[in-house]
Amino acid sequence: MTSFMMLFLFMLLVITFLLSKFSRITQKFWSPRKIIIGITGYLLLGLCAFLYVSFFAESPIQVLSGTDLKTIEKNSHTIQAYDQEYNASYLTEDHLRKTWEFDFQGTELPVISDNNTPGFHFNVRYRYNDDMPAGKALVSYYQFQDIVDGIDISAEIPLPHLYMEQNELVIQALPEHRVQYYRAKASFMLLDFHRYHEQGGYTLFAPSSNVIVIDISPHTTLEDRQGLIQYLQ
Amino acid sequence: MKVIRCEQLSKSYGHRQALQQVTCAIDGQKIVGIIGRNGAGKSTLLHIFSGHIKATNGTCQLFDQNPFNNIRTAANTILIDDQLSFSNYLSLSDILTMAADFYPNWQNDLAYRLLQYAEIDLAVKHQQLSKGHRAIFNVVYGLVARCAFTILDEPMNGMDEAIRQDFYRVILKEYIAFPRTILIASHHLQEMETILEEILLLHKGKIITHATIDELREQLISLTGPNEEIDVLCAYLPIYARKTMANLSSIIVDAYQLKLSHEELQARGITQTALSVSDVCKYLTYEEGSDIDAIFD
Amino acid sequence: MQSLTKLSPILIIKKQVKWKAKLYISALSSLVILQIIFTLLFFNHGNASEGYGRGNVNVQFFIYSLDVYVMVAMLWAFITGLLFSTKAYRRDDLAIISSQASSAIATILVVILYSMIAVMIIAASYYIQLIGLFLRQKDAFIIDQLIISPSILLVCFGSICLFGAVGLLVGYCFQGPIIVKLATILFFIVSLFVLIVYPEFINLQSFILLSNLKISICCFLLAILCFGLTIWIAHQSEVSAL
Repeated sequence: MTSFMMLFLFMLLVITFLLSKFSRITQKFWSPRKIIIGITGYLLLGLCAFLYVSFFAESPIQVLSGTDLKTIEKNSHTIQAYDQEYNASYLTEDHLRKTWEFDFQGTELPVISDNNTPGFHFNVRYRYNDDMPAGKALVSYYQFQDIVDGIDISAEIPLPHLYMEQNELVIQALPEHRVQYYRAKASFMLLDFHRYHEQGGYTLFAPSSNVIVIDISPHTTLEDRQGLIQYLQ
Repeated sequence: MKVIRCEQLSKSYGHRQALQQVTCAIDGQKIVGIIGRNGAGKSTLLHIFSGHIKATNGTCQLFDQNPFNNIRTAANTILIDDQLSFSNYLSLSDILTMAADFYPNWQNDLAYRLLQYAEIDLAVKHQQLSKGHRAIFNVVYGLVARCAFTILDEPMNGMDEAIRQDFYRVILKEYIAFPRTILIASHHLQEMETILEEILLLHKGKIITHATIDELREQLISLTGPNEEIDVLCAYLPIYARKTMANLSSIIVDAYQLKLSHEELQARGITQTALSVSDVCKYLTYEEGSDIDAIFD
Repeated sequence: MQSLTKLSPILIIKKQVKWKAKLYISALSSLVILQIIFTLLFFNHGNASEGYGRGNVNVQFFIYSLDVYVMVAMLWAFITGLLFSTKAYRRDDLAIISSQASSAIATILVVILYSMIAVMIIAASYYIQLIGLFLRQKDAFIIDQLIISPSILLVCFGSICLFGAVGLLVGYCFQGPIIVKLATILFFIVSLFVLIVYPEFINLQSFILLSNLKISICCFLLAILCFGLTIWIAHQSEVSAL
């Protein structure tokens, strides 16, 4: 409250100063007619800006509607339920974003998840695949929709960093990165913010964690020293 | 028909009494001089007439209505004083256009002709005018508005003598063209004596006299004669002023209280001299001990 | 005898409004300048921002709403109202047909008219900012709500009008009769005391939660009250007290 009052008083002083200065300057150089023309020009500029933004400024980013959000939330719950049952049927081609193939020696594949790196939020699973030859591992990365404040940011989420080092599969998250969006909301945030909180806000749901699935031959043993990797049927 | 009626009008600013129980009535279609020394209460009275200030006590009726904050009386009143100001955005020509929009009897052509005569550039702003030009513009503004009740408070201040004389004629001609009630408060009484019909003399917030010019001129006379004869008169007459030089004295007395005829005065060696209206006003508001020379003695 | 002029008060006020609206126009140009300054100040980061962390992604939204524009316009309206009640402005009214009350009414109407134009200036500033933003951040530009709803416009108009009315009232209070001046000073002292000692006494939470229409009606009612008081004080005021 005090800081707001201070800011208010400061703004009051600045505005008073500007008004008094400006009024003196305009009296010398501007006639009412010129000022009226100037203001009308400004309003017309505003109108043109509105028309341009309305007709030509198509945003590449769509804001999801409430119904869309409900559907996504439902899907998220389903995915979480399947995941808890170790059921791989939710890992469809739709969600597959990238695959890697690694060669290794021997019948054991040690996997190290660098889960201490910030932003590591993958569920790592493995499954036996009869089609996989020994000494090969197929790593698939499945990414699910991630919604933040009505915006699907899935495309912004970076892929995990996977590589083989000394015959060990290392899974790392890429360094944290920042995404900025500029949102036009032609309303009062002050009023909307309070109303939003009073009404409990939008339905917020925890997004499904993205999944890394390691397909290995049934004759291969996956060595998980950290105990983070779960078997998938 | 009385345009103004004041009954027991008083106005005080804190402890200072600007007007004290002023009672007067002013007829319509007259040019009346409001005369008085500095601080006599002239401006206060004029501001009450124009509805700008409210009397502390008593009543004031202008066109049978209380003028204070009264838009109906304001529509027929214009007060011109040295504080008259206009927006900084308006040139003189814009001011005339604006005034023509407000005052139904506005004489734009006349305004242009008068300002042209006074060599005032209409493209400039009111604030940019010299003191004299501003006074001229203000008087023109007040006159061409042709309001039924026109108040001019010290209108000629700042004007040179020649233009003052011209504008006394302008006032008179405008009055003849459109008879109205004009009140003029001024210290230049001698100059405008010829255009005034009545004088309201104020002193220390009170009305000393309200009379026609002729009545006022006859109110006081100057008597000059030997000291002993003058002393005899002084015994029963109220004296407004006295000056003594060698064995001759000169006194100012109320003409109506002087019981002696012109011949009787001559027999006593006393000569009688008429005073100008300005002198009469000066002596009527003269106070004992208010001699400037006394300060240096 | 020259007949008396019988002009209707409405006609006089109409003429006063016409001239005042023209002569006080610099107030609106000041608002345009202020809006441009604040557009530039808030151009990069909007009036509000929201941040979300999702794994190794930090999502930040910069929100461009009307808040700053309206707040600036509200402050502008308050100061403009205050300025319109000063001697410099009121003295000019004496050169034309006017009474204290009629000139106060005309000034009020000008404040209302300017508040309407201020709403248009706010909208113009907002869309000019958006077009600038769109041209600069085309790929990260999101349109949540482009058209300012009528109810929001009403809130803008009502709040600007209210602040203008308060400014005008405060100005007239300090220029009015001595008793009004004393009452105003007393009111300010008591308000300051309450604000410092019982800050929780001033709680606008429930007011903010009202619908836009209700908020604008409240603003209009308060503005009407302030305007009414202004006219009453003006009617009691003397020119010498200016």
